[in-house]
Amino acid sequence: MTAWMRFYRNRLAVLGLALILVLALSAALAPWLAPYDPARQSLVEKRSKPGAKYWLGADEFGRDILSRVIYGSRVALLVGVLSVLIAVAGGLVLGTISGFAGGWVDAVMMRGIEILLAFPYLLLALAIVAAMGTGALNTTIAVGVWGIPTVTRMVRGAVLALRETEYVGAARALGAATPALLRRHILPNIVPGLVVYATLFMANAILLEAALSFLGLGVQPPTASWGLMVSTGRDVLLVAPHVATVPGVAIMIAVLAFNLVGDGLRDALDPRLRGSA
Amino acid sequence: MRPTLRSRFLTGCLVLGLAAALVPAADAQKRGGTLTIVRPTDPVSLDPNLETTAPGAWVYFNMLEGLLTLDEKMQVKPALATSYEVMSPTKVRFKLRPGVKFHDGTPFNAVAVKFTFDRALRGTPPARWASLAGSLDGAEVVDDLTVDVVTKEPYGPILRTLAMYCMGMVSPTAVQKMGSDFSRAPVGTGPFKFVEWKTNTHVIIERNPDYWGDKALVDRVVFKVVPEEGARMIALQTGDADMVLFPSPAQLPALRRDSKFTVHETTGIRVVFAGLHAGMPPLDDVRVRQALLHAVDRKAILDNIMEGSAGPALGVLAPGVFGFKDMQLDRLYPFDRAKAKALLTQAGWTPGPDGIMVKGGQRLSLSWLAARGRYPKDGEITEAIQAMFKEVGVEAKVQILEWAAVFQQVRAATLNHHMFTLGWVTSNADADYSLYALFHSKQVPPVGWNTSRYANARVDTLVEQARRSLNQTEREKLYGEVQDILAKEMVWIPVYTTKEIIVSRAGVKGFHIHPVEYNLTLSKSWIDK
Repeated sequence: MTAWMRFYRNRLAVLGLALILVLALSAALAPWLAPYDPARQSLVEKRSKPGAKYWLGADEFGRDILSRVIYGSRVALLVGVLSVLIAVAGGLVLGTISGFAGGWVDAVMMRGIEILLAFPYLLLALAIVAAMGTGALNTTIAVGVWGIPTVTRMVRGAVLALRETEYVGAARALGAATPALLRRHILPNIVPGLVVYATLFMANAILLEAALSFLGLGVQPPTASWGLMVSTGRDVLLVAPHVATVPGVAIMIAVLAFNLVGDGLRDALDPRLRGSA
Repeated sequence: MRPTLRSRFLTGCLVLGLAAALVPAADAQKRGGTLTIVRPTDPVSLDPNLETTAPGAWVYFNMLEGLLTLDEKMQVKPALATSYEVMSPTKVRFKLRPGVKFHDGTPFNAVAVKFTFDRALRGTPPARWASLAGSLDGAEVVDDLTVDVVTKEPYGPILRTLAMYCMGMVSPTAVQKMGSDFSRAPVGTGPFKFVEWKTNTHVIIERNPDYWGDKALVDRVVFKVVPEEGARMIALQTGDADMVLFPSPAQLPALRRDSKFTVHETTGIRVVFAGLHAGMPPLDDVRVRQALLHAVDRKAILDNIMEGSAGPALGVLAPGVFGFKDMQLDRLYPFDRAKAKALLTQAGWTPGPDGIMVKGGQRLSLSWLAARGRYPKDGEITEAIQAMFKEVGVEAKVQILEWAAVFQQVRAATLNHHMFTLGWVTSNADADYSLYALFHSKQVPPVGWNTSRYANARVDTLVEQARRSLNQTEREKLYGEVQDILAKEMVWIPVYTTKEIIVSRAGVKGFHIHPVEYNLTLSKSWIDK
């Protein structure tokens, strides 16, 4: 059974994939899908309940929550995807060097990585934002950098294991140069694990972006970010619960979707887990 | 936190029967317990030399006392001085209260007064409040309990200035012994003394058992930092807090009806505004500034964001301040988008491809610095005005930062932002305090508070003249003219005048709210249950 078939049979994973597609579509088509300009305010309609005009209600400025959730998916996905790229690219390079070079290079790099891993995740991201300032781009970089150590460790472990395998030894004996060895024999074997990790990391990246924006360190107004929406909606939680709840549910769904897909991919790509849904 | 010490009837031992006037006879005061207060921001410092804004003042006002104080009706009352006599236009002689000791045991006397003023006015840099104290020059010791306060020139508002919240006397011994640590643990003569400050968590003060006057009724006061409005309200509901500063406007109607809570309200004297950097293009063009005034629907902000928790701003001063004149903003700058666009067109701006105005390839984009939670709804009004600007083709790039970061930037010698959301209290209720420090061209930070970099020679002359005059009618006329000029040149978008509102549990008694936010008097409050 191919990996894809195994994935396809996992209903939860497919559901996750479908949700991600919806999310991607809403991000891509936001200007056409959103009923209103997400920054358009109508103060007299503040905290409108969900209804005919505003399907998911209006926030404390009378802004359409549905439109803001749709536009917010752009920030979430953009920060998610870009930070995953940063984390994966950084981790791949560092992990490969560390794993392949071994010796003191490996030792020095790993101690450095361990220092980074010792930071609580939010603290590291906060430090990066504090140093570089707030805004969508800096948030992305902060989230990406936060992901690098873990990816590095994972890649290094895989490279170490692969380096000692017989077929790599054989290729080396046949005179394969290091770049070719890496490109043809080692990297292709790391990719599946990396894909799974990247998917799961997406979920965390979206959550961290929301957390940073919630703390007022992420995107700046009037950009719609789910975390920021929850943050400001919280002030009116008792009088207008929908203002914070709707973006909160959006965060939950997105994180759940990526986790489901990640789990599905892991099961599908790992032969040892075959059969256990 | 509930009262730990079970209450005792205190009425008998209260000094001089003063309390009888303050508390209804049927309501016997109880002593003891901890008063927990939640408020949005931590102090910058607890030393008036370094901190003149409310987060610090709320705390140190209960520990440090000045020669005089302002009562809740904004009248000057004696504190550490018992009487005064005007010796000359630049000299006022004060008799000091005998037998007063600082919290560290140092006696309070004329030397301490001189020390406090010297430290503030001759220090490098001078105290933050030095620019607010006009031409106050210092004090001269006459004898142990007599001191002359001198000014560089005749200074109309001297008594109100000495009664400001930040004029508290500090213990010379403690300042010399503690050095820079003093700013985190000040030593004064007040009814409370310092216990502990954990940054961004809490400040604790406790009753000064050796206080010269009516001793505080609660054992301790804990000031907790709770930045989020919603979380502050929940703390009150669950009983984690006895008192909330900056309560949620949206919840006030319900709280007013609820017998479990008391809503303390009074008209404040702070104006919250969106400041314009008049020295930075394109805001150096008065037509652009006027256009921005027309673009803002202030009534919609009052109705929908402040929701009755604030009054309209009638100018740069609050009504009730001596020298106030209604600047007629609604008549001069009604909400009118067409008018705003016409003014921008006059100034040479034309709509660009994305709707934002352009002139010579330059977009009409303004960078704007604001905090969230320093003043009621400051972040929200900033966001609302940002959206209103967009409707007339003005882009506002808002940066919401924490208050300390905003404060540092607006206090710096150069300001690299077009706009800033701030509030200003005329703390001594005299127009001099505001019109001089805010609009005199020589009062640009770090000297004063002219954050708008406003420069008008006529205004400089008028505020100087009014400051020197001891004739109150003349002063009022001069300040009127200043406000007429400001009304034409507008370097602020005044948004609202505060109402001071504090919500407490109904069990907190004896608390009187003051029109000046800084003057948070806690020594008379007590906890019933």
